[in-house]
Amino acid sequence: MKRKTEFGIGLWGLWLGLAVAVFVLSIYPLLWLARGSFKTAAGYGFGRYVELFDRFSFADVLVNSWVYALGTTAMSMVLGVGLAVLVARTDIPGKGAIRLATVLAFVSPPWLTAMAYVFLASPNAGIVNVLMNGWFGVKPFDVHSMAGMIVVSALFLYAFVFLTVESALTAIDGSYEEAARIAGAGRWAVLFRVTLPLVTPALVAAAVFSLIIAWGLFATPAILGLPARVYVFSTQLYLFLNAFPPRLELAAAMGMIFCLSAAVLGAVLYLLRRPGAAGRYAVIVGKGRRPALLPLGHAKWGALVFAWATSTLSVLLPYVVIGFMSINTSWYGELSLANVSLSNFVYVLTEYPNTLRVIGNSLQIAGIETLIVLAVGLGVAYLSARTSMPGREALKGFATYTVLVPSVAFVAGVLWAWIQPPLALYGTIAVIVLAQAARSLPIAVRNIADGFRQLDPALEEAARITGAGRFRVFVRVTLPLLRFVALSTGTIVFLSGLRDLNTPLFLGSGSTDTLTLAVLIFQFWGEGRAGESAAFSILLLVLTLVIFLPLYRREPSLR
Amino acid sequence: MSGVVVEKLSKVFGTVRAVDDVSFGVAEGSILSLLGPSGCGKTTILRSIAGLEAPDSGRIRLGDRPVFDAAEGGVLVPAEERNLGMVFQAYAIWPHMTVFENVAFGLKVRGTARAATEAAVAAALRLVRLDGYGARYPSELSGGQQQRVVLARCLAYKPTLLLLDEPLANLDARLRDEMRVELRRIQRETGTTMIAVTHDQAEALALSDRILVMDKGRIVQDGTPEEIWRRPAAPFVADFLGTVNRFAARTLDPTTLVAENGARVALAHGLSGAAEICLRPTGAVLEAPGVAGPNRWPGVVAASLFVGEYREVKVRCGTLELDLRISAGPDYPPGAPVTVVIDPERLILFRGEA
Repeated sequence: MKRKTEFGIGLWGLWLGLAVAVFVLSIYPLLWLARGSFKTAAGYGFGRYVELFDRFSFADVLVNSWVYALGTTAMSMVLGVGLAVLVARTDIPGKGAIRLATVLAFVSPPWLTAMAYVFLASPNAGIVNVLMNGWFGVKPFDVHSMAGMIVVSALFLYAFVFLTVESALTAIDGSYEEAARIAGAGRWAVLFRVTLPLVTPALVAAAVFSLIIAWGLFATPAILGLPARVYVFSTQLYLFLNAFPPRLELAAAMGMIFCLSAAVLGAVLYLLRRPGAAGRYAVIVGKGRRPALLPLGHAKWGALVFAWATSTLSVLLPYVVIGFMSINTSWYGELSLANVSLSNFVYVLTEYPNTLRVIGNSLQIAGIETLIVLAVGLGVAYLSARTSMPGREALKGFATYTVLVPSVAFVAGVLWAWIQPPLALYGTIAVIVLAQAARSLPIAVRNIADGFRQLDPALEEAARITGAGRFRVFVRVTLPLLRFVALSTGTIVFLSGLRDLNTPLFLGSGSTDTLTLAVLIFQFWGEGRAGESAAFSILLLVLTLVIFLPLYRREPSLR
Repeated sequence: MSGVVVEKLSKVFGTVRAVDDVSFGVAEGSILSLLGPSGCGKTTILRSIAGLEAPDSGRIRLGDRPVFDAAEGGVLVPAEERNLGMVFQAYAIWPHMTVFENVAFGLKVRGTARAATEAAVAAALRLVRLDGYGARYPSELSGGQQQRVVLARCLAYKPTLLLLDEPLANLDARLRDEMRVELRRIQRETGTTMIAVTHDQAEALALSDRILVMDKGRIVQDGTPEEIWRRPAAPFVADFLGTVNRFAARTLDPTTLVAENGARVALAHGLSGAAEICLRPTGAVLEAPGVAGPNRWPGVVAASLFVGEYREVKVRCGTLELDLRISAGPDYPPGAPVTVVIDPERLILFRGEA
């Protein structure tokens, strides 16, 4: 009797297709990055690494990068964890508004905050400095500094920390804290000995990913640091790529150094999450769970000031400033309404010749990226959650490991991978799409895998027992049940694709063929045309909110 | 001096009076149980004593120290300053700390010196028979051991009062029996005053010196386990203490009742007026059909289920159906005629509405 194989030809075909896709998206570029970093004039070796330190004072860049990333992470943790504790574990009023502000800070582009703070706090013409000068005769703030870079980056990154930690905090059973209070522990002892230690894995994850994200942030160090000659990893990489001739080998060597640093951090994270340690943190939420919100009492006012100051500085103020800049024809130094006009918008919408083309490019890149990411993400998550095929976990690992690669390092790898014949895609929209898709794949795989986990396999098994094949079950049962996870994941991927600056800036050809809104805004800014830049930012913001707000209203987990 | 005094305590959630003007005291060194169905207010009372819930009105005193007073210029001592211990239903053992660290926590936040802490932790672990487990993490312990860690954690700093919220609900039947005995032993050895909340009548009966039966935010009966078992103050209490057969009756003469099915009941003690009769499942035996009369009711077996130590037999007597537990005599199959012999000493009588 002929025994049917466990996995049909269709499943193997899917497996193969996904393996190819994951290889092309996530592995191939980093292989090239490694190879490029060892390429020297005489063959292969560590020559480029030596050259980095000898001729480009790379030690300074290394120190700056660590100071910048650590500072940003530390401040993001203080703000993000503080807010998360307030929202998840206390009776602070106005939680919905605090959470909305934080989510908005998370989806708004980081360069927007940087631009707004240049307007507010650049050393000579920043509006706050001008006002302070008028009142007290001092100009206290200088946003073009390491401190400025750290503060402004943290005002964006704290939202990531908040979202990571808050969900973990919400899942804690209230009786852990109640038991500590009854044992005699005051507010702070409960917080630092019970509440926060219980979510150690989430805290470490937030810190590790904040560091890696900070290494990959380009816009903020570029807008704030370059004028003051404060170079970090990402801006130094940009300079290497824009040198003439481009110093691709040096860029690769530098990328490798940061990839390896990130890998070490990733290993720490893995150790914390290994099964043996998990029981020490895993908090089982049993029945009869109470949220047990800690009454703030008189501390309420301090907490409210903290929450609202953070939200104002990170979201409200930048948006207001960018809005003001977009309707103002004169730039620095004055807070008058004398120069208010819509001329920036008139220029952006009617005079600038490529507006539609650029918006089209942006939507096209984000759209194709989203489709690729959803298709690969669904496939990888499906194989991992619903089959016992060999190599399924490796596939998932390779699809998600890129979260540990700082964004600009990965982009440098993509550059290496696609610049040479026969696959010279460099300078096309396709390569931008590939790079952005690889960056978004981890979050998609994770979200969809979570979706599968919440889906009772019996629903699919029931369909198979009635006689439906694997494919039909997937289309008729699994996909409809996962549609909301897919929709929300798609929206998040689309939005991050829309506002991505690093990838199209580093990989674009410089012509309008690959120009996106984010790159255009950055270029206008570089030319000192802040008004036009702000007007385009408002355009992008409107696009973002139109896409995002319907999701926010429907997705309870975001609220 | 009394251990705990609760006076005129009330708490409203929305429109529900969760606790409705409740007063009671607990003698020092005794165990009191609050017994009732879920939603009867017992947990709210416990959490109010703990300081985790702020009542709307009333007073709570621990020893001679007021910890809550709703009166003007009132008192609300926060939970961490009441020097209590509490055993949570889901244990709430901190999973990120070792057993030692869990037990030492209360001493550490009180600033106890290291040597004293170590001695107190060792003593507490010995008390709950977990010596040598200090270095383990809670995830490496069984359910029963976790329960013991919780007790040690509460007792290590010698609280004035130990609160237990459904302490045995998460244990399987065998462990539950064991822990009941252990709890009593620990209470005896330490002399700690305890208040337990439970919905399990067997737990309350076995554990307590005194029981408060609660329903809808009020105390229905306050008494020793024996009083509550033998003389329930209301049909609700009798019901809650075990499935009983309940039926209406009227008096024929002071020692004879006519039940609603027309059968007669001869009483051991006199009664007048209409009545409600409760008959425990073990309050009657079955005999072969014979002469009917007072306390000897003719019936037909409707169902019979063998469950081990006894049979659960449903007998139809006219319009009444009685659920009985029969542990002796022959097995009467369904449909068999029988005589139900009622033991008048074991009837529980309530004066019904006329």
